[in-house]
Amino acid sequence: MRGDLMPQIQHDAKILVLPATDLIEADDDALVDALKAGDLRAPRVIWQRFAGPVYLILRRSLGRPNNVEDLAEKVFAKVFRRVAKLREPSSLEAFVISVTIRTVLSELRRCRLGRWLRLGDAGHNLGQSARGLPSDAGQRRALARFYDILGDISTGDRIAFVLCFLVGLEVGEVAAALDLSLAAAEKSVARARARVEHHVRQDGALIDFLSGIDKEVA
Amino acid sequence: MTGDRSTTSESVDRLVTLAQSTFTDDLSSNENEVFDRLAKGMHAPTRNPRLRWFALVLSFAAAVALATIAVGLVHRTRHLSFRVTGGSPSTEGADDPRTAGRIDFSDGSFVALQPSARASVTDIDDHGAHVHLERGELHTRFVRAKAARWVVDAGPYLVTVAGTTFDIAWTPAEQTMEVWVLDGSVVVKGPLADLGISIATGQHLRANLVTGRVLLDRIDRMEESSDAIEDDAPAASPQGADYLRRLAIPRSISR
Repeated sequence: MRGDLMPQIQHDAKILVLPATDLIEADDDALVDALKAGDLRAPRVIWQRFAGPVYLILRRSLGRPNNVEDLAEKVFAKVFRRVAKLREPSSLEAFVISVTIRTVLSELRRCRLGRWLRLGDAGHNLGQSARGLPSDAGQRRALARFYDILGDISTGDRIAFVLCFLVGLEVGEVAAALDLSLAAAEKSVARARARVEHHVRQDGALIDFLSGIDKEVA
Repeated sequence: MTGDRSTTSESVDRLVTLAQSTFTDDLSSNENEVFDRLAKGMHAPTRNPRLRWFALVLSFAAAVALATIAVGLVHRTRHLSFRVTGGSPSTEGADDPRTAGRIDFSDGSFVALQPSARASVTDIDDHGAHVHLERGELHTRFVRAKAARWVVDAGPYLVTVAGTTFDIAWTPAEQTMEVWVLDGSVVVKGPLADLGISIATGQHLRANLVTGRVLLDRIDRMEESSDAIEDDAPAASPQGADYLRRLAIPRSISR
């Protein structure tokens, strides 16, 4: 009975000091601080800020317009779990990209192993549905062929090519994202580009098709 | 080479543009729901640590039970395999014929080839195997098991076994087949035994296609039987007491 009369004490209660400014406009430092302080709005703001770039890297790296939700979930789960240990809050963007790239590399290796275990390559699968793909069958085939070619180069060179040419990062940023020296990143990008060009040069039909869609795509 | 360097480079640029225009950063409603899933996980109440331990122990016990059942099932449906040791492979005749070697099956059954014998496993399934004796003598032991079915063919004879220990010899030059059943029973079918002759523990069967005679006697009376059928060409096989001693036949059989 005595217990009922005693006030309930929440030993693990926390008082959160929320930033005065709206988190949406906060810089990465403030956002990371808010997340560390347990601000429940912070994860959503991080999601809103980085979901687009994360999806873009996933799609362009893997050549899938859709069915990358699970990978995006993996990326953000890891980001939210580890962001508290981030030494420099200002490097949040680089951290998110780095986690995304590691997730892509792991997925590419998993796909490569799957392809090896199936003892054959049925060609690149652009996704389980046509949503987000070009309506033109020729363009879909060209894209599938492009990702087939990317599948033939090493995983490291492929991701360097994607970040440089498809995502549009500078070589220095590619080096930082892949944790490489600038020279190594330059070599990787050049090697990947040469390999892609080599494969494309062998494919007369692909070149003919691409010359026809030049204006349309541009 | 189909295109020159600049054409190739332009083509790659076009592929890049095509990929960029296809794979954008637009998020569908499904893709935005990913965050809701994550948020649910983040705000889920923390479980009682005791309950978590209990669940862990329970899961472990369940996993052990499942593994035991799985191992039992695997054991029950285990596929039979065999391993050949000793002897020398030959390129003649049947597939992988062996001489003076031993074929060990995964269930403990085995076939031991005596010197100059040639035999091969021509078929195998979950219940047994088909062993082809091309010539010479085999000492065999087939483990008894439910639905076990082993077959040894020697010349025109087919010996069907459910689980037993027996020796078999086939001498092509003399067209003679002999079986010594040391434990269990076998059924021999073939010329002069179209309906099948059942041979039990301690019995010996000798069939000679040239003379058209079949002799069924006891292993320990083989010398007498051999004397009685002198017209039969002697098989190149061990005989009587010496043979029993070598194989360590139980006393009750050798008397």
